[in-house]
Amino acid sequence: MSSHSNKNTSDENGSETLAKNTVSEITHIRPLLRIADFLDTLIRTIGSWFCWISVALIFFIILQVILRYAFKSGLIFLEEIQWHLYGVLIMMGLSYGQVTGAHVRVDLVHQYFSRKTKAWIEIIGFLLLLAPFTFVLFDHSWDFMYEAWRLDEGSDAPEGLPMRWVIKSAIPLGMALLFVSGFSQFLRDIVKVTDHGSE
Amino acid sequence: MEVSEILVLMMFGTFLVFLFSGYPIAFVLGGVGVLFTGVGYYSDIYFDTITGLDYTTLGLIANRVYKLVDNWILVALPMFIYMGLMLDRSAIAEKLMHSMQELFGAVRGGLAITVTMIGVILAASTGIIGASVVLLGVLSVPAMLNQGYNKELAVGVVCGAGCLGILIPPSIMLIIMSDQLGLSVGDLFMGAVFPGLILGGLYTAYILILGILKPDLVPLAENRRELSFMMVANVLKDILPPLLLIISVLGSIFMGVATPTEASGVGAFGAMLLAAYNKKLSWHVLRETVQETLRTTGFIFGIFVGATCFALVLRELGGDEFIEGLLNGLPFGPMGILISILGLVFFLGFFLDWIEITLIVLPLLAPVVSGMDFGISDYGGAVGDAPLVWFAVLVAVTLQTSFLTPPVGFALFYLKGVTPPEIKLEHLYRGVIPFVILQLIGLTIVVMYPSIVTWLPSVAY
Repeated sequence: MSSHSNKNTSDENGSETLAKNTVSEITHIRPLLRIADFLDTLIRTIGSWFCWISVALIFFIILQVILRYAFKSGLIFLEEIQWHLYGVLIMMGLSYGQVTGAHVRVDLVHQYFSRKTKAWIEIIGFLLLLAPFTFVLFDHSWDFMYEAWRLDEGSDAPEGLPMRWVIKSAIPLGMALLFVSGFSQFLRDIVKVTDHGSE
Repeated sequence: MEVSEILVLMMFGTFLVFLFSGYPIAFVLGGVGVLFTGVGYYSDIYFDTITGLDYTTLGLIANRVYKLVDNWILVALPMFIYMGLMLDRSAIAEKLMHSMQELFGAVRGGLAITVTMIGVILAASTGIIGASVVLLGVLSVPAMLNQGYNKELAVGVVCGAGCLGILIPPSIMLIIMSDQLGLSVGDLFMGAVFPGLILGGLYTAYILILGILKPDLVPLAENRRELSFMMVANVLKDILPPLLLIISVLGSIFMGVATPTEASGVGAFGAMLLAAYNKKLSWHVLRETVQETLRTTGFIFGIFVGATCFALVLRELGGDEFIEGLLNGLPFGPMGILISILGLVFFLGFFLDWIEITLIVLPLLAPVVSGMDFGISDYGGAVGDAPLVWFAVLVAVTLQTSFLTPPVGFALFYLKGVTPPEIKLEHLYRGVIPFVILQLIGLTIVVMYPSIVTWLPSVAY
């Protein structure tokens, strides 16, 4: 049904398997694929840095728990750093999920479609849904961040973290990366529907 | 029919079409939201509707998404995901399986009971259905088949027990529900404890009765040994570490000592300690876990962000009043409406994941339920919004049932992927039927006796 189990064996949406096949066979005649490979590697690399945030998050929570119970003094900025880290984590996860094929699909009907039909669905989906959505959210969240920067917005709490625009920038950044990862999939599917030889 | 109602229906229709095209649900939700902002905008111009939708309205989404980021409760989500994924790799389940199998080897159906019990323990520790079904399946299906178990029973037990994961706390679904419905995480966690245990108890009773009525379905192991003190000691030794972790995580939330976020961080840390204790913690495992955490978090929040956009636009189009009117127009009393709602959730669970249902459907339905009187006591105010807590737990039970139900239960497909090829989809379909019935019995019990849910939250703190 859905394809987010970590034992995912289906190659329908995993760009990984796709990349391997296509790279070995037709990279030299398809510069589009090289761009897509580059973009995917970029997103994966960024993801493989940011994923360590969860360990940092554990560290800060434990630290806060110790301070709170052992020394009876919770620190506001420790609390805020937790949701800052979490916020970055979830926004970075969007694009990483896209390149690793984690986003859930209903493949009740989808699984019976041909390779080309599936590619067409991805192309239409990108142009009609993902691209407008990421664009709108990027545009608005950019203004949102800019406003925070202009007003030099900080935490409401006196000992909280300053510079709210930093965390707010996670939203446009996440959207931009999600767009890039969707675009890379789009390039692959363009190659697939125009490719007559390999079917 | 008014134009705005037509728009609402069109929006649902478009959503369904794209949904079944197989495009990722997160982007379908977000994209359809953006598309229908355009539709609403032009319909205001040409059909005199008053949706008020335009590009500026969409700006609210940035605000709403920031509310997701700036959310202290949801910090617990990636932490519990991390904890579950780490425990999956910590060899706890393997050890438990081994020692409990010996202990229950002398009872007919002992192996199946072992699976149920490990299912309950896993449920309390991981809370991710896919993960627990896959892990239980890999561990126990070959063992049960070797011992000559009936195939249907073997896979049925695994699906039934594995699905408890979204119900038994600390379930990430309950955290999201509490966020959506404005309920306390602790209340929801506590409310789900007894329904979860009742289901586990029903499974165990069913297996024992089956062992008496149809012994050939659940043969005894040939190499079974007499019960000895050592066996019991072994089980205790293996069960103690994970049990301690669960008790400390849940206990600290229930006692009000720690916030869910603190408990989740401590739980994640505890899972690492357990993995280290079992000599499974390595650089490789750690890297795998953090990457998988990012992936899982990514897809869950993808749907979160998409659903935020979808729900916002749907609301502007008048979707709320539409659904409310539809449900309140039903010719039944409160109980009838409640059952219709649960029926709807059950049906939606066939093709939607729990995340979409919790994020889109639940907020639409909750006001209808809040407005009705079921005569539920809140124990003199000890439980904040007791009827809604009860309703949320009912939805949770219903959802985990719909994961089991053919033709498209999620759990069935997860399990199909990891079982030997001699297990056909038909075996799965037939195997889960008794467990679906048991769950419906469990659901009925909870519908009839709301205090099963509301009692525990009322006595805690």
